[in-house]
Parts: sequence; C-alpha cells; structure tokens
Amino acid sequence: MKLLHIASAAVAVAIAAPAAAEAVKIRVGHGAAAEEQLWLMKAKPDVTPNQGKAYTLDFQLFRGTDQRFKAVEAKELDVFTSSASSSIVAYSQGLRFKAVASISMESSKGFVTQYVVMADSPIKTIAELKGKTIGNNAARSSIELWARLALAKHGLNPDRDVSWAIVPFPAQGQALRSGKLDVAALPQPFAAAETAKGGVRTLFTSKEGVPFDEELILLLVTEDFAAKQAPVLKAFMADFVAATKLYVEKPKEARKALIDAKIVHVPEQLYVEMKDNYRNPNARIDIEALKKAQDVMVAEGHQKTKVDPAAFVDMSYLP
Amino acid sequence: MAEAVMRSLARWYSVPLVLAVWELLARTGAVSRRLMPSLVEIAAAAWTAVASGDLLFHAGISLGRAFAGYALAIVCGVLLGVAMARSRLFDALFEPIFSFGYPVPKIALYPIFIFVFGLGSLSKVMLIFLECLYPITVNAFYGMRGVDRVHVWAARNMGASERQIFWRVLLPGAAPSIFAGLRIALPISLIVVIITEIIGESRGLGYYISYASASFEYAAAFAGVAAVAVIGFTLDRLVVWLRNRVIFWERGAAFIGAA
Repeated sequence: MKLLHIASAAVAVAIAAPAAAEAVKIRVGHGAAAEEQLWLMKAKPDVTPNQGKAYTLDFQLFRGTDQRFKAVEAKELDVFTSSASSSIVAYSQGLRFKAVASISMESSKGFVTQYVVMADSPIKTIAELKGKTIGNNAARSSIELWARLALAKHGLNPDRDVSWAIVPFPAQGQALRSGKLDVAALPQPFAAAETAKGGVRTLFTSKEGVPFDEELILLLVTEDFAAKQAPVLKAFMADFVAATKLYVEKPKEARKALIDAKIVHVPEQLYVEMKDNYRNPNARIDIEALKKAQDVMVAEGHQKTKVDPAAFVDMSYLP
Repeated sequence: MAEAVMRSLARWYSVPLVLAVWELLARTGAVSRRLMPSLVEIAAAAWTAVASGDLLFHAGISLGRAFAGYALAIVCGVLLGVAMARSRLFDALFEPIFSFGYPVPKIALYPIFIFVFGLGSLSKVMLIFLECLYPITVNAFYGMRGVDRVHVWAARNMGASERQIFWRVLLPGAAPSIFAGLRIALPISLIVVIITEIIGESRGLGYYISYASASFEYAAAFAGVAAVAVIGFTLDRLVVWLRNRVIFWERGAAFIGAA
C-alpha cells in the first residue's frame, strides 16, 4: 500500500512537472500610479485563473516610462505600462510595440490630477502664476504637458513665465508646505493624502488645458512577445480584464488587497475611500482619445512627428 | 615632431579603440541602435544641439554650478587640510568626521540639501562642495604631513621664520598632493552636478540628458553625455597644465598625463 502511494506521488509529480514548465514567465515593467488592477494580479492571484498555468508574472518597478522602453530595447521586458502620451511619442520616434489594453483614463468620469496651492496662498487664478514654481514629476511628463497647456490658455508663456521643479509625487506635498513649490501636481493617492491633511486648495486640474477625456496609462506588449506567445498573451489579458472588473466593481476590496499585499503603502482608510481615475471595465482603448491627445501634443510642440495611433493599438488579445 | 606624434598615439590609442568598438557594436546590431546609437548619429545630434544653442546653454549652467561648488571646496578643503595637519586641535576635531564620512555616498543627503537650500542651484552647489571637500582636504592634510622633516630642519637652521617655513617649504612640499586632490575632485564635481540635475532640474546638462531620453531621442542623450566627457577632459587638462606651471620642479612626476 505504501509503495502504491509513493508510485502515485511520483506519477503526480511527473504529470505536474511538464504542466508547470509550460507556464511562460511574463516579465512585466510597471510604474507607481494609476495601474492598480495590474498590481492586483499579483496581490490577488485567485482572480487570475490562468496565472500559474499559462503564465507566471515577474514584476519590475520602474520610475519613468522611458526607462521601461529602454528595458524593452534591451529585451528585458515582455509587457509594460506606459503613459498614453509617452506611447504616442515613442511610436513617433520609431519604437515599435502593441498597445493591448487601457489601464486608466484621465477622465471627468473619475479623478483627475489636481494642481494645488496652499489654502492661504495669494494665488487665486492661473494668470497669477507668473514667476512661480510648479512641481513636475519628470521631464516630458503628462503632468508638465497639462500644466503648460493650462498656462498657455491663460496667457502665460510656460517656458519663460514660470519655473519648473522636478519633485517626485510623494514629496510634492511637503515641498508645497515648506514653500519650495508654489504649485504641487498631485495624482492619487497623493491628492487624497494632502487633502486629508488640510490647508491646500485646488487651483486647476488636468482638464483645464485638455478639456476632454483621454487615455492615461496603457498596457503595452513587445511585438516579439505578441507574435511568439499569442495564446499566453490572451490568457494574461483575460486575467487582466478579470482583475480590472474586480477593481471597478469592488474597489474597496481590491484596494485593501493591495495594502495587505504591501504593494501600496498609504493609510488604508484614505486609500480605500479615495476617488480614483476612471477604468474602462472591458479595458478597451479609446483610439479617438489618443488622436485628440496627439493633436494637442503636436500643437504644443511636445511631439514632432504625427502618427496614426491606431497603428500601434491591437485589441485582438482582449477577451 | 614624429616622435611627439608617436608618443601621443601611444598614450591615446585606447580612445579611438573604444570608439571603434562602440561603432562596431552599434552598426552590427549586437546592441540595440536605440540603446547604443552610432557615433555618426550622436555627432549629428550634437551638432544640431550646438547649432541651436541648447547644448551650450545647458552646459553653461552645469559648469557654473560645478565650478561654484568646486571652488568653494578648494578654498575650504585646502584650509581645513592645512589646519588639520598643523593643529592637533583641528585634527582631533575633524579627523573622525572625515574618517567616518568619507565612504558615505553624499548624494543620499540630497533630499536634506533640497529641504535646507531649496530646489534651485544652491542645493546642488552645496552637495558638490561637500563631495569635493573630502578628497581635497584629505590630500592637503597628507601633503602637509608628508613634507620631509629634513627640509623643515634645514630651513630652520638657515634662520627661516615659521611663516617662511610655511610658504617656502611646507606649502610647496604639499602642493603635489594638493593638486592630486584637486584632480580627483574635479570629475566628482561634474558627476554630482549631472546626477542632481537628472534627479530634479529643468536646466543643465543632466536635465538635457534626461529630457532627450524621455523624448526617446537617444542619440541626443548621448550627445549630452559626450559633452560631459569633453568638458571633463578639457578641465582635467587645464588642471594638469596649471599644476605643471605651479610645480615646475616636479613636471610629470607621478601624475598621469602630466607631461
């Protein structure tokens, strides 16, 4: 009888081993904001039935989008996140990839990035920002683009009339309170955190300069991976959409899972209750929004060569 | 003339060799052309940036910051090193700080510098000053301590005052070591200014590099890196030239590239 057990165990291991070997490791490069449902795949693998069978995930955090593209060039990533604006500029510069899903949007249907001043600041209008310092998270960021457009709309020259200070999002609130910045740019959860502390007020939002809904973060995949691992990618995308639906339908449960998994490090109450960027539950990319955003970037000089965003969008992997 | 050319070739042949390997890797596709653009692309991007004035504008800002911190470190570092070498009180006061602080990566203190000195140039200048202070002080200290006592005794026997001994014996004796410290600190000043500008600036070569990189214009980013290399090399040659003029009796001795 004992021999039978040992033999059964050996057979089970022999069967399981090839199955485990078939799971393809997907190297995922991600950022630090507005892409929660992707992190949820790590925090709650139970909502991703294909994980461990068709694929496994190897997450790598990057500070800037451009660094993710460099890692792709070095063939170190298969799937990665990117801001929509960077994706369009990267494609216009000759980089090749497929945009397979929308992760989040900068839309009136959800939270939009806040540009805040101290509550007792004498700055009441955008026009009064002449000579002031505005926080930016990185060179050529969406944060900078939105602010530049808002300034131009109110008659200021973004290159001459204001100073830009590159400060990471987590430090912008403190930089504002200590007087190092006159305006802090705050996405979530930093906007919620600073609002909860009090003493700040919103001067304008990202919609001041770009008064239409736009894609914020896209999920990209290398052309090579998409070509060679199409079934695996489809399995991954099915799980990604399942994670997105959970995040949209049960945001509190999903965010609590991210905190419990120590992926997000902000006070639980604040994070669970905050208003977040809009997520399309089916993860489909709004190509028209990409085109409109490109028109704005070209007009602003943020992008040199115009491309057709539809050329890099491929939603055939979505369930 | 021919001999001088051969001597230059013998010394500098590794530079074109490295450039040739770079070009080979770029052109054969062994490394992605975006990660490693060809030298022709980099040169073209550099020319465009110079012609538009962008590169010179940002280089001027970086150089100003680097010089300010470096100059401050020279003044304070040499004075401190000399004081530590000449005074037991100064030595006891500062030696532990320098021994303890030397291996600390001062760049880790940058957030504190930003908090104290603000987001502008001053925080960068002060960090450059701190990074450069260490090699300059330590070299000045050991230079002064390393002066041959026989020279001091000889000067004293010939009736030299303490002031004359300092200016005519100790300082010239320590000068080679002091210049070694200056030469070590010079590239540090450039490295720190570029890193701090990459971390958080909207002007300067570090910003230019990170801006070009974020724009996916990798050749332009490398043009910025090449500009840093050219500036660093030129300034290093200037220090060597100055050193050879000041310490004319030791021209080329134990100083790479000094002749």
